[in-house]
Amino acid sequence: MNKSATYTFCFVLTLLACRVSAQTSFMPMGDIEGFKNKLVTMSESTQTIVSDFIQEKNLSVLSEKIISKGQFFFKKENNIRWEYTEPTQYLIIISNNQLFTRDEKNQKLYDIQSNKMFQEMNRFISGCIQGELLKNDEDYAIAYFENNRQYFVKLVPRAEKMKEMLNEVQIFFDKNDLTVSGLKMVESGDDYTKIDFINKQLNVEVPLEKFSFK
Amino acid sequence: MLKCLLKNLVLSSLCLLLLGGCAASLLNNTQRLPEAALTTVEITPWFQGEDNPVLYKANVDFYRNHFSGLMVIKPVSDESHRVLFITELGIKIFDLELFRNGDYNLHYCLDALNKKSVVRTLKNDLALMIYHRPDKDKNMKAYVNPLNDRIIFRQRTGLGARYYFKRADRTNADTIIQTSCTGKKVNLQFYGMTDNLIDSVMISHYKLKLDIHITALHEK
Repeated sequence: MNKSATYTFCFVLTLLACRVSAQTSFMPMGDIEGFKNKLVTMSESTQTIVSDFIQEKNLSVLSEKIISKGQFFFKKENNIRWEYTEPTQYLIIISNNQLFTRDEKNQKLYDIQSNKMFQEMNRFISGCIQGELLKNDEDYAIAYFENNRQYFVKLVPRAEKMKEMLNEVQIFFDKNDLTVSGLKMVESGDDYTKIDFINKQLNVEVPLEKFSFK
Repeated sequence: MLKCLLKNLVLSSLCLLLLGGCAASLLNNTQRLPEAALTTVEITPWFQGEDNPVLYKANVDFYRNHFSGLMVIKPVSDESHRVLFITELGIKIFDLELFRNGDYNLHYCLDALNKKSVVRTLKNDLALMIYHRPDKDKNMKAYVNPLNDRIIFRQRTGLGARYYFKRADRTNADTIIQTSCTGKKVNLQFYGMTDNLIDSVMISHYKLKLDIHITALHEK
């Protein structure tokens, strides 16, 4: 490789590195109120969300990550369906204050109101999707960031009991349509669960039967 | 003092009677193997091979609670294993480190399960599942059932006993039953993918509403 070609190669590498860094590094958000307003508008105009998801579980004790895949459905008000297809079949439906789970062998129906853990889980999941969680600065210390592609909100639980389970929650919003593109729940140590939402479709027809407990 | 001694004597006799009855039912139609034969028959624990899967689909039923998720069973060293149970959503239920000598270290347990007796039972069940190996030097007797060609090892454990069942042509146990002085306590059923590769394990308690079922998630 001659000298000029080497310089060109290094220049291209530097450009690429800048581009990657610009896409991934986050800066404090410039207009937090503007972001919140856009989120409210998006939430009001969104009737349904259908998306594939890839879940990555990182456990410090395990060198490989545990990858789960499936499909996610949301329909206003508060109808949620998580359908895991890999590595095992598992279904969670939240609708009408009830939580339904089904695996290959068992199916169970729980009354969300009767179980504090399910209430918290329901509030957390729908709060993430509809952005309601960002209004809850009583329970979480909230910090806002952005880069050229995404908004990134970091929530740190204030309650010690909650901190034992969850160190922080990171929610990533797509700048184009304000939908949640990723969710990362960081536990103690290096353990975390990261969910990436891909192939998102907004306001497509989702029949209510998708949320029936059959 | 005399009353206390009598009470203990009655209780011990009762225990021995029950234990005798329990042993008799588990050792039906068997013949004792001579001491010399013990050197030629042995049991290899399923989880000792390096090829064993790390990830398992797991269901835990504890009274009216049903926990479903994934279980990680990973050897950390020659002497210890780490066992983690997480839900499909990634929420950690428990994280236990088990040692071959019976010690354990609880790294995490969800509040709903974090009771001393529950953790101790989980630790005992999982340690028995991973490290089971009858010790020839400690009160071990072996029997053969000529009707079905099965070998049974019986090892005394305190006031109870542990029974290991295996086919004569295999080295792995397919059933382990732990008894206490009041009868059968816990039953472990092992199902193999091949002779040495575990597929699933079913742990059932006789006096406690606790069932643990794990199935290996073999890589596709």
